[in-house]
Amino acid sequence: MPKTILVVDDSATMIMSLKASLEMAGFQVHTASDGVKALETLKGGLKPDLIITDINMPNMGGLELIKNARSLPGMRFMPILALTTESQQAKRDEAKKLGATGWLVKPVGGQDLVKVIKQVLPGA
Amino acid sequence: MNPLLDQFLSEAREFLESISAKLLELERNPDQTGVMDELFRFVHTLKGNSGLFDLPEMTRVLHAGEDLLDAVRDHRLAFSRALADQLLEAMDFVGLLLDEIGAAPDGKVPDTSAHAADAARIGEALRALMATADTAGTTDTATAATAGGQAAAEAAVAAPTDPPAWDASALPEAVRMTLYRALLDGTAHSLLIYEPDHDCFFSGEDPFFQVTQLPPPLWRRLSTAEPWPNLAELDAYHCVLRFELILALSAEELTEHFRYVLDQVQIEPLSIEALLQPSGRVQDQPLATDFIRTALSQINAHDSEALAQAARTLLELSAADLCIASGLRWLLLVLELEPDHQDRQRALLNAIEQQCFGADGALMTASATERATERTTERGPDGIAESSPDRPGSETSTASPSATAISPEVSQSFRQVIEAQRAILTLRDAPEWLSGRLRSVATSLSNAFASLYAASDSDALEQALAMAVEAKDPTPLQDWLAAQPLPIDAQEEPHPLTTPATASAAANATPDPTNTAPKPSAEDQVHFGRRAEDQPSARTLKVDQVKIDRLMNLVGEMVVAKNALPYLAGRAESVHGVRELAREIKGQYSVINRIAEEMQDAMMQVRLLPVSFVFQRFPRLVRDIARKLGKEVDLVLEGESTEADKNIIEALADPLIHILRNSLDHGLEGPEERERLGKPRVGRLRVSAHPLADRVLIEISDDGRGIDPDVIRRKAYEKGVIDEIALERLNDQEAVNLVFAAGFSTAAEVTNLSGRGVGMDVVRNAIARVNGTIDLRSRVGQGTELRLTLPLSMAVTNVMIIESADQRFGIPMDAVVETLRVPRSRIQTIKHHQAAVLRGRLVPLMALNELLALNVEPIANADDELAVVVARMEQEELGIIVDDCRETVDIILKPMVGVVASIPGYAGSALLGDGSVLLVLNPMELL
Repeated sequence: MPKTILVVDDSATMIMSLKASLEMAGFQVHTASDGVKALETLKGGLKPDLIITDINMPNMGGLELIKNARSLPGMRFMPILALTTESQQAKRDEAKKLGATGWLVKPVGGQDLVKVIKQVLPGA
Repeated sequence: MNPLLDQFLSEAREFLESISAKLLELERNPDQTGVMDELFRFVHTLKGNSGLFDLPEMTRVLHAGEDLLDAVRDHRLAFSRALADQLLEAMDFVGLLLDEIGAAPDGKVPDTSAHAADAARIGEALRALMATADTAGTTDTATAATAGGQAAAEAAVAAPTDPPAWDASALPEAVRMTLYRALLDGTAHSLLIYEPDHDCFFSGEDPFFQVTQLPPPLWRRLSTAEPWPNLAELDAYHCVLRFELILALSAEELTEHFRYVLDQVQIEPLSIEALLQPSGRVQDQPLATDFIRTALSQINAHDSEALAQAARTLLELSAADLCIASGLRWLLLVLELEPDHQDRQRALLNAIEQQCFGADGALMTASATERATERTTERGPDGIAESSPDRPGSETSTASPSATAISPEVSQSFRQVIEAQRAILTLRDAPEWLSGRLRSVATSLSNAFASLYAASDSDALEQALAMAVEAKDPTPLQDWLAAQPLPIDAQEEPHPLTTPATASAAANATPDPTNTAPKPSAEDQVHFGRRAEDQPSARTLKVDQVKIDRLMNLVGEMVVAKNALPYLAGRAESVHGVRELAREIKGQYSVINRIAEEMQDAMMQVRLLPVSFVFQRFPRLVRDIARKLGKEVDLVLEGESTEADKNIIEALADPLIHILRNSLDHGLEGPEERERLGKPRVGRLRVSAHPLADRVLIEISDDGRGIDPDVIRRKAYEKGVIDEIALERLNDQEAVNLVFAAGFSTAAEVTNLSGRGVGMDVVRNAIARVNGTIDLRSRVGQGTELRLTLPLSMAVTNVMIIESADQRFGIPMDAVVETLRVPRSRIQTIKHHQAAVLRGRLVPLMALNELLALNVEPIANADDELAVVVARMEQEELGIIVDDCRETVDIILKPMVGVVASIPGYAGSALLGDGSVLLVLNPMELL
């Protein structure tokens, strides 16, 4: 069974780039364009093995998504990575406090991305 | 070519549009934090995306823009017009780069370093705005930031010093010796202490997995940060683990590995000094005092040979577990590896002297208990320590004492373990991980029995396990367990044996694993089904325009192809005389017709775009033009969500921009002039869109000076557009409409804005090309209003087929007002032109044959009536005399191409159901 990853980002370009890298590494990728849609997907029954979420998004940003996702049944222990830029140290800390497992620093290329994911995703 | 790049480009352009829009919005009302946040997000995301490609110039400019906006967002800097100007320029620059990248061949990212200087200049300009903010503005945030930085730095400094220094003597001697050698070789080694947060699981962390991801450690110890609670109170989600590992990794590598949990780890470099410690049982050695005295003098004499010899002799005389023996082993190792390091040898001797001898074991109690606790934790229930690769033999050899004496507690816990395993063995669910489960049971049983009996029947257990794994059935293990003698103490209840037996019997009664296998898969199906349903279906799909166009063409062809069926039905009946078949074909036709219409409708929906697609450029455009002209304008956009076909919307862009330019340039007055005229300083320009039946109405109005018909008349006369008679005859509205005449330009001087060689005639033609109409109303001194009506779609055109001179033509139904038969007697000739009074109006008549230069007279019907199609032409009506009017059909209008494209009078051609080609007239061009 391939591991499932939910990628949340409002930029279709970023989604496309991440999706391509992840799929090439053998992951099954679901996407959502903001926090609200991601939560809908999660409430709709998708149980990904990992969530990667952008921070700055319309409707619902990544921080709020992390907080909300953690309160969903069965998602308390799921690894969540926040997608940040190098200048967003404060956001990273906040994300961590809200329950993110770690963070990725944009731009994330194929190899680095897979390396980080393997680090937080047992069995990947 | 490169889908990611294409995606980036198209999204980046959208972002640029949005950024401009938000900037203008903020310019009107700077206190909208929501808009500011969005603006920041767009620039931020765009910057992030540009990082995916090698575009240093773009990233540089966007980064500066992002920083600037961040400053504004944090109220370190006020939003200003200058700032907006600078940002808009920066975005224009980014747009330029995007164009260049888009134009590059093969989807490759071109080298944009030619713009490096521009990028640097724009970046500097943006940062300069920020610099002024930092000096002039709030110093308190700056101090706050440094204060925050300081606090963080302090915390960082405080963290490592906080817990007490780690005691290297916890390490077994052999490990320390290996480490010593490794450190001398120069390989970096670090000590890692990892105490995960108690709540770490709730952050999706997996400490155990983190640790197993590391290369094999030299040594490790797994313990608990706080004592395990008793089983009843155990909270499995409360992490109390504590890992201690020695790894051949540098502190940097470990910091990188644990970067998400740095606050939970302690990484320390290892020093040789800390490792060189004698350890072991403290006991006086009679010869030791002499040895140390001579050893010191030998060190001073650099006689390492003799010292080593003496150490070896004493070592042979000492029990291996004594502290002195350990000290001597160390000494020999140091002599071997660092014979010239006298200080180290001396320090070691010193340590031996101070630590290894006690009067009667006063020191011993401390170190021995410490070692005892170490041993218990290492043999803890985790199972990790047992597999430690570098575990010295002396450590494991601590045999279990008193194997025969079984205390009631031990017996009870043994029983619990056995019962638990027995219960597991009775499970019949055969999951994927069954073999792992069986192995774990076997290990638990083996350990339990080993704790009770010195030697258990472990070979038989292994065999039973192998059989069980092979057969994917726990029965062999159950049999083995049943054959084991259980400790006979206290009152042994019979249930432990019978309960599992009945349980397994009951379990055996149920179908065996092969039969239960379909059950989980059925569950899976249910599961998947539910998932599929629960997936939100409303997703936006971005599709290449070309694909949509192709699909639309196919739908169009389908719509036309279905028109062949009625012909076919007609032929079936009339030619082949099969009425039944004709009826069936007609029946089938109505089905296909319905589907085709729905397809067409669905296709239309797909192609619908909101007019905001075009409107969104206006704020920026109007702002720029108004500033260049020194005018003040309030642009009002309405009905931006009104939708129309993509082609219509796209065709609308240029004409609308031209109209806006005209309004700004010629229509609206400058602020001073407006004040003088008693108008508000700020001019008003309104662009609105509404759906109007099956058309879209777009109105552009301003409150400027309007169009003076007299000026137009005079100018038109001067330019030879009209003659003297017309000059007299034209009413005001007709005069105003002259601006649409070819080669007419109302501006006295051609300015650099509207005077680009494009007149209103071009605008009118562009609108007419998509079957739109344009209507101009103006009141002098009060303003001008332009009304454009456009079809919602131009995919399928409804035309009326007419016959003239034995040929068939189409006329778009949009243009047809009515069709009627006019008796020849009622046609009058006025000034060489034919006309007739129809419904009380005088309508000029023209014969189609004459318009098309077909030298044939129109054919009247038996009552000498002529067929007339009354067509709408701008504001007027024209009666076109034809031979006959036929049915209306839906056609896909293809524009004329090649040499025939230049022939006026035709809107295009279409294929009819019977395969013939129909030429469709454009009444506007006929005259």
